[in-house]
Amino acid sequence: MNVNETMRFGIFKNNPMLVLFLGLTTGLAVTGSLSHALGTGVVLLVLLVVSGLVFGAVKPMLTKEFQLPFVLVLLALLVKLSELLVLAYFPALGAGIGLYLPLLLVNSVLVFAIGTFEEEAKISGILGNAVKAGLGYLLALALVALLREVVMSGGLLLTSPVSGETLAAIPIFPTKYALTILREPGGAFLSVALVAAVFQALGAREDRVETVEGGK
Amino acid sequence: MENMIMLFLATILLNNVVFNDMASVGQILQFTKDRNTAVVTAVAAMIVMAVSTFAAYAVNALVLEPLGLEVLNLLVFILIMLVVTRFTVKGLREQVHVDGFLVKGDTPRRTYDALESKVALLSVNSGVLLVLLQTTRGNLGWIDAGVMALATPLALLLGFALLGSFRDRLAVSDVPAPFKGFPILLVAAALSYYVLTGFGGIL
Repeated sequence: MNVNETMRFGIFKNNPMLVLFLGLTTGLAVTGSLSHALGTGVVLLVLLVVSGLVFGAVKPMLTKEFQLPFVLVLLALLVKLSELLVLAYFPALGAGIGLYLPLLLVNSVLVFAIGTFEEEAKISGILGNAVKAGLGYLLALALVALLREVVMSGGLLLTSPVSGETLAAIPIFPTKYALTILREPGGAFLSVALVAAVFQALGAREDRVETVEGGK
Repeated sequence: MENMIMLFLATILLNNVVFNDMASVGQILQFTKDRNTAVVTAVAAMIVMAVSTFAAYAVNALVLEPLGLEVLNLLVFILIMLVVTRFTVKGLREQVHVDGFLVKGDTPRRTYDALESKVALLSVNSGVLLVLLQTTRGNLGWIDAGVMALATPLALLLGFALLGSFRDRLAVSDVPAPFKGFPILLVAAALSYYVLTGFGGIL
């Protein structure tokens, strides 16, 4: 989180959560269920696009010291709005995420990906970066939640964000072999560490392939 | 009185803001890279958290709730966090510039100035906002909120201290390549959580 460094987000390379380790609070807290993780990821993606559009349009008019306060006030309004909308139209999702929904306001993916600390002033650049960060974050949340939910409950349970009814139940292995330890916060840390390690290993292999090919 | 001590200890050990609520983990991982950054940001985060919890609870109880304006809570809280962080950064700068408070090294002044942009990021610390939301959401009285405002910064300090010292140890250990860097620290955080749950028996 070096503020002076330019930050480029990507979906696999420079994934905001699994490579850059931003937005860990949300990533750890909502990944207990795949349905909640997907819902949060989509809410964050929408927030990124809307706030990227507004901030991109206003940024050329702001001096540097006003950028962070402006972004935080803008995000406070948008996050509150999204909290109220989610609670009104997707009550099951809202109840599932709980306090971590208003907490999206201080999600560092949201604050960094719209270019709060960068020189970039073009709206297209800001929006492109924001969409990439949002998709990467959604993917990361989905992967961690998939691992956690399958291992801790022996299957997947997709619930409707509106009513909380079960949409699909996919049993994978008998529940008596499930590791319920992953349900707790400690399990969240472990799952994120495991998925991040897989990403790091794949990234290292890719780099090696690139250097070998570059050497030819 | 007994309840207050229980709440104080439980807030630090059981409902730890870092290991149980999983907030601030990202910032702690990023800020414990070297000693000066870790100490300065930990102290600044404690001050920001304590002061803004008091302030947010007071504003919520005295202004927002009587006027029925709870819908503005996020806006008010983030402004409080911004202002408190700004003043903390300034106050710390004066202390460091006068007598080298907290910062070790030959040029504490320059070291602190390089750190300042990071300390400013504490206005987007998820642990602080989580405590503000927790203290204002439930039916906590003034005394309980005060206890929370004093105990949660200590819980955050525990997180900084534990993860920071793990990092020191791990720097000289043989870590499997894919886990190098942050993943192994997250594993250490998971183990810390299980260790802290052990206090559940006595509290």
